[in-house]
Amino acid sequence: MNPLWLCVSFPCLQLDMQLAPSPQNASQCVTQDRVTQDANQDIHQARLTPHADHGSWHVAECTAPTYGAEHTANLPLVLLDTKTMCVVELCTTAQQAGIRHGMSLALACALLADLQVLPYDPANNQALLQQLAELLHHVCADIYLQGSTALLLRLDPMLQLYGGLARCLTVIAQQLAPLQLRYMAGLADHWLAASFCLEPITTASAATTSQANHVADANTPPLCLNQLTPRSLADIEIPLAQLPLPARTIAQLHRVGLERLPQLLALPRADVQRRFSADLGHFLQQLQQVQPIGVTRFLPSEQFCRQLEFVWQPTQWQHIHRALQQLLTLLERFLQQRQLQAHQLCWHFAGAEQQQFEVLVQAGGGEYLQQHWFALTLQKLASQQLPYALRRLRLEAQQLQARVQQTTDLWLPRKVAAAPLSPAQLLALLQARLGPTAVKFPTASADHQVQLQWRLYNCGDTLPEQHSSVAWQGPPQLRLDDAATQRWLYRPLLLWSSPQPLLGAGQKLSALERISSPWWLGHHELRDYFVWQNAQHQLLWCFRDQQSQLFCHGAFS
Amino acid sequence: MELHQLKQQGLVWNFDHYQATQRQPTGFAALDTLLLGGWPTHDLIEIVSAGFCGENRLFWPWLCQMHGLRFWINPPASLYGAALPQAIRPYCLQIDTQSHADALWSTEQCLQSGSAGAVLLWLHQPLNIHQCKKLQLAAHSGRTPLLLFTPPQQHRLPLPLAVSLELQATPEGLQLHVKKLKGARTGASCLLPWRELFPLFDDTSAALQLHWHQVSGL
Repeated sequence: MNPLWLCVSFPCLQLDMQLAPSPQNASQCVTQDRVTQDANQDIHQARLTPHADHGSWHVAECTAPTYGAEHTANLPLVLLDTKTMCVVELCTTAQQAGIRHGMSLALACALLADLQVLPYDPANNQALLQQLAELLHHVCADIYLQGSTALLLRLDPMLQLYGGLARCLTVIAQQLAPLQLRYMAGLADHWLAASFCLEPITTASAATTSQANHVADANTPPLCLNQLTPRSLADIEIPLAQLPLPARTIAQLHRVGLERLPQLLALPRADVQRRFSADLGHFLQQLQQVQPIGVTRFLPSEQFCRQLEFVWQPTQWQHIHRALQQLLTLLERFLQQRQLQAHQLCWHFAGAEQQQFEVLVQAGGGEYLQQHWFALTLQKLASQQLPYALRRLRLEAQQLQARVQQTTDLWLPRKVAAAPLSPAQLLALLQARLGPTAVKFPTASADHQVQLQWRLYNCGDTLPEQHSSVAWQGPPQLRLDDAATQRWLYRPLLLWSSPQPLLGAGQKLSALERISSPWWLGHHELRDYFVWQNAQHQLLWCFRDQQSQLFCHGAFS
Repeated sequence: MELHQLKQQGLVWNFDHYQATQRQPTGFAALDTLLLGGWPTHDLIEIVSAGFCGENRLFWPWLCQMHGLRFWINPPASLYGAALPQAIRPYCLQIDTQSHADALWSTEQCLQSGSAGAVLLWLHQPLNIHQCKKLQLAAHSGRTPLLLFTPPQQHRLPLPLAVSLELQATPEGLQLHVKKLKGARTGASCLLPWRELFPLFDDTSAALQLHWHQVSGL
């Protein structure tokens, strides 16, 4: 099978990612923003910016206007290259006003007086592109980053899996559609040709709104991605001036009348190598290789770390609910693609003046769903106040493990099988709100002393196997008339951490039971325990120590 | 408002119908008779007592046979593992909260999760009607009973409880008085002797055997 390459270019990636609502929360955006604006008029949408170092999201200096998402979408907004002072990205409103890519700032401002300008950050673009590559990685594993705006996908190994080219392109389009990005795509049998035959692509949602909003200025209407037809390298009139060749070599080619790549490829290879420089021969040799040259292969990260910067400064937790959901949605996608689950999340909250604090959210049984992590995070945050206005939010997933398939036993009672929350999820929710030490379970330890024999251990660190799994056995079927079971009734259900002096009258209901601590540990103590009924007829578990003092240690509740 | 509307809203019960609802035998014949068959399986049960008179013992047969986690929320002291049978001990959890609101929130979460077999809640503040109603809805949705332990109070609003039982410890045993029983007349009472509740207390030889059994079991 011949190689088949798809080049997808995103000319306005930063703007589109910032202005488009997140797919999962599209219906909630307006409501939440309205609530937020009621609370604080200066609040506007958070800006997602990726971190170039380790695939996370990072800070970008921004002078964005203080508007909500729905307002920002209607403003003429451009991203400007701070070195050349030329327009790099522009929104559809600015495009409709006549502003174009590469236009100078002076001319753009002359066309549109209320133009909003933000600085363009190539590193942000690169990391956003990596995010898109990660999104498409489970559709096509052979992905290359071409510059900071385009992705190169090799499709031919995947065609058999998807049952044809049209189906494969449809799947890719489905992945990109929720993001509502403007993009162009080219399909060719060569990696170089794919990037030179880009055509504007529309999605179903974009087609319903306005095809004129597309970034391309082409007169032809945008195509759907699955309508692309493969092109050949020899058919595309690629100008030689746009090839990565030295200027001297290009000038030589122009002198002999060669302007386009097909003209060059039509010449015998031996003649070209004899008459021109070695650079051109080397370039032609590279063209024959299957692997693309001058691009970076994308390898997905094994750790999840995303950062989000606010261009406004939220002062209450409810202001960042949407930002939390956005990051958790990315986490869910990350975990789902890898069949993983996380047991702990670490939220980093950074203020404008280098303040920083962390919040750990734990789920003993492991979670991967956004809604569950969001509920746990909200409960965790509800117990504390936001100490300062936030500038940055970072999420790290820790303790990743392979997801355990929860198999349901056919013989489980209907109530247990259809429970909204599993035991592990319930414990995680309780600990998130009440703290890791609030939920305890009794555990035995090898000690004869009553106060040390049984202790309450926190569920936070380690969960008992019975809690973390759904291995619900049948009912214990204990019979209280059984002698083996009745012996448990001889111990008090409740025990005070330190014995209290026994005061008042009463009567002894049982014989003395001597319990001594081991002498070899150096602290030898003898206690004679008995059941005591006081004047109020309460049942207490008391003891007499070696000095014949009486203490109350437990109660039969 | 019509009678059938009141029935639909649960404000009026048909006596025969309520008797047919699912009940769990208590393990004590006298108490079963008093409660028309046993404990209601997923509703609110209030125990009013001064404490430490064996009130948990009344639920012990039921707690030992149910599914799911058993939550003790804000008990007056720590759970002692030696009193919990080994088969149910991993499913017994204690929750200590800092505030009344947290206790109610925890109770609601446990009830409606569906993973809890029973929730035992000690309260030091009286419940409001809306709080009680909310817990009742959670108990119904999660099909989990809530056992509510409250101290005796002089004046209190009537609450939508399924059972309200007042315990009075006497030298002979535990005196049970029905303050409220949904679907039945109140005011009935019975006496459970100590020997029936704690049969080993006056058996010295059994107590000694028990001690050595437990020590060797460790």
